[in-house]
Amino acid sequence: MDTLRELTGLLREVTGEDERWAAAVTPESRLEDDLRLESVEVAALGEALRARWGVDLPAYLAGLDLDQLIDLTVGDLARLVTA
Amino acid sequence: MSCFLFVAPPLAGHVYAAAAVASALAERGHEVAWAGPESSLRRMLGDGVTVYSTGMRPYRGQRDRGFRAVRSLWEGFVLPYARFTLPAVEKAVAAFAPDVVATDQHALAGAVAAHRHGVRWASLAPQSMELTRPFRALPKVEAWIRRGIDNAGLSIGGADPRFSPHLVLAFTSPALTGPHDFPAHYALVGPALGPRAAPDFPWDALDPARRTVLVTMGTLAEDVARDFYPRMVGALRALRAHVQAVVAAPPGAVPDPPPGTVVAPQVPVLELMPRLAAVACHAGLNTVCEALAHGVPLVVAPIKHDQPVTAAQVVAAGAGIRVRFGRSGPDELAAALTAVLDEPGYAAAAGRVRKSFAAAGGAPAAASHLEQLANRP
Repeated sequence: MDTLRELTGLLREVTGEDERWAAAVTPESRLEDDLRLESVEVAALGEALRARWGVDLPAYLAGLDLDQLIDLTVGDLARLVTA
Repeated sequence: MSCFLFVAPPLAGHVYAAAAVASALAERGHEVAWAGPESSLRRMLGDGVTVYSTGMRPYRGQRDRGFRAVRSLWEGFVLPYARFTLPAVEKAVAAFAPDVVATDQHALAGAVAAHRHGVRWASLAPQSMELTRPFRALPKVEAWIRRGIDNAGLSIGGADPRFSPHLVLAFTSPALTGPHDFPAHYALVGPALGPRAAPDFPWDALDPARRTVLVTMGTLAEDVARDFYPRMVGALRALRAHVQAVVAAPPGAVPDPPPGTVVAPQVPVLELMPRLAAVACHAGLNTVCEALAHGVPLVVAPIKHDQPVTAAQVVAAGAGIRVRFGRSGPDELAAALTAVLDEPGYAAAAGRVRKSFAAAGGAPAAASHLEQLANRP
């Protein structure tokens, strides 16, 4: 399964959204402005990324500045988990 | 007798806590005045107080959430508001010659003016954001805020105008914040609940056979909550046999609520509290503390700013359930309400926080701290 599809599946799990919502997720989708993730959902996503790929999302976020956090995309996460 | 100048942004959650402390000081014979936007402050404080008017800046970006809201809060409100009001706050300090300036952590002009005039000052923390350093895990965000303050010319001798070196008064308690190594000059006094004008309310409309739940999403949320209320109405409809809701919102914003629901733009929150079985809110610290001061458990749907921080504190204290403001559907909201209403652990935890608030002393304790600061040699 490609990374984007797998990430989208995890995003569906943490949000409880449906397939139509998931179909609109692209690498350019921003977690905040486009997917409207809430902080509890980001925390749940972090757990899911750690379980699946062993990556540390909080440590990654700690290295970002405010503009990068605002503009964080699904593509950024894909690069993180495949790095 | 001492003189105290209060400086606060014209937001209900900020002004009401400061007003309760100001009233306690006035009752003890001290002289109290305010610096802020006069018409907004008078709406909340009445005509009996002295106000040095500073004018107002509109806050653009009220619809923002998440990190975008962090940026718009500082770039769109706190920093320009501080710069715009600083000359008027300085004039107020010169004219009133207070012994102590008590300034909100988001009214930085009060700290700067006090510092420039050699007056002792205290920080008031009526919200969670600047108290427990929620961005400690995001050092570049913390640094961005500090840089913004510095670049706006608002740092005071290199120090941070959000944190008085003399006294930081926080309207919460460790039962809610959790354990933190607060410095010795921090006083966590619990909520400062003072007398305030209570709007009319149809008390006869409350049904004694059902449990009463208050739904209130805050004064800034009217725009963004339009999408939340229909989902909440769905939850209330599912629970209508046992639950009657009072919703603090413009009636047009709450479509087709179940029969008996009371919808009003303003409700007497403190008078309602003793009759409530639960509160569903946006996790504004003011509302959360008002509920917990009465031992009322919560369903919290944080929208932005410090609200996710406060919501996490409510959950950690065991006094409520967090739901998702933007996404939780009627079923999830109904399940959360049912849990806090029916599972006794939530009310018991809320009762523990109530006790810690009572021990913290509230407005009288805050007033005593300010008196001691004024009397220091």
